[in-house]
Amino acid sequence: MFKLEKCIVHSNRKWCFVRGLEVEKEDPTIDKILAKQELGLCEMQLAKDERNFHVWNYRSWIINTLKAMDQNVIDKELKFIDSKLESNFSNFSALHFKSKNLLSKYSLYLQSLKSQKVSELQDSALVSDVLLYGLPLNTIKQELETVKTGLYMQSSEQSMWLYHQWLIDRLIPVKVIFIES
Amino acid sequence: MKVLSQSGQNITLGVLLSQRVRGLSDKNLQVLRSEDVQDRISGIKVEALTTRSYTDAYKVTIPVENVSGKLVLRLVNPDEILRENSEATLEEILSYCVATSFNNRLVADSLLVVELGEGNKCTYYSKASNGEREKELGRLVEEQKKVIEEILELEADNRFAHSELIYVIQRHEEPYANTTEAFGRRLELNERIVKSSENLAKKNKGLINRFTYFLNLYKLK
Repeated sequence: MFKLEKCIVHSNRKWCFVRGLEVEKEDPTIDKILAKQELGLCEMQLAKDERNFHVWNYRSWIINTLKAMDQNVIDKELKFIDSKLESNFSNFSALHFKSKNLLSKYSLYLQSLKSQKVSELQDSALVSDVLLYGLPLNTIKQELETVKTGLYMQSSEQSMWLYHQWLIDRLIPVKVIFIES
Repeated sequence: MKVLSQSGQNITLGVLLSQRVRGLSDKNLQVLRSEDVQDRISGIKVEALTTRSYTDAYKVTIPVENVSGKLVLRLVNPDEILRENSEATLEEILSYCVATSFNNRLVADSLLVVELGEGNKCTYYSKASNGEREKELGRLVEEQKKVIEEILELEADNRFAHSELIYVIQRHEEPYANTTEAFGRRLELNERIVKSSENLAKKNKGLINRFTYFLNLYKLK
């Protein structure tokens, strides 16, 4: 697997992962055992090549499979991504999956509140932010501060500019819906 | 939403809303001349038309003399029209939907701005209605523009920074329509872009020529 870092290898592992969950479905801990093993494998591969997007895609697939069962998975993944970005900020895959995981985290947060009455919402400001921008405004501010440092240090790296653009897009809730003539 | 007719002193809009919004009336819909809630047009009439698969159609008649300009539609107390004998849940609030071809959602904290042009041309977009929040967003975007401009001062030929500056300015400007006023705004924007590109122009003649070309194009229009 370390020699053949191709998509097909990860496709095969995906199949094994799903089959493993099906075959051992009576074991309540099987998802955690398999996930730990596969995420560990991804970490080893990413230690070797931190930009391998096949590995990042496979890792993201595992997270998406597990997030419905355990919401802490996304928080742990965000910590992992941050650790990768600390060692090298110019990592397109890490930034891309950070944006996906942030949206996913707050989308799940909204889902968890769906059955609540509006008047009973504890943090209506946060809900309003997530409805308008997809993320809390404070998170956007923090991310803009982080990316600012990266932009000054490595301004010729496109990945950070794209992440910056994504954050700016969150900030501007004005959009043309349709022009009819 | 569609402008159905502009005759005499009335504009008639066809508005499609999700079926979760029931019983829309003139008590729950305000039409404003600008984004200021005080600038309200009185005497609008809301009439329920047909029911389609997932949407209800309403005819909104607005008594305005000037048929060209901006109108802002605002849902008032949206909880009431969703309530149906029970308090609205967040799930229902999430389902506010102005049925357009892009299925854009109109949430409680946003306005639907409609710009009417000549010959029933209609441009509409959603906008956050909270004034303070808008100012905060504006400040944040201004900060980001300064960061990019500083990077451009340090590295005049950084093409990523330059395209980002154009992107931020364009996205932050109001959407443009095919009107003189909108072209004026666009012209002003392009002049700002050219001005901000002075440093870059010293090193990259081709790029500045391209901007000047677009600037002239807008001037011609």
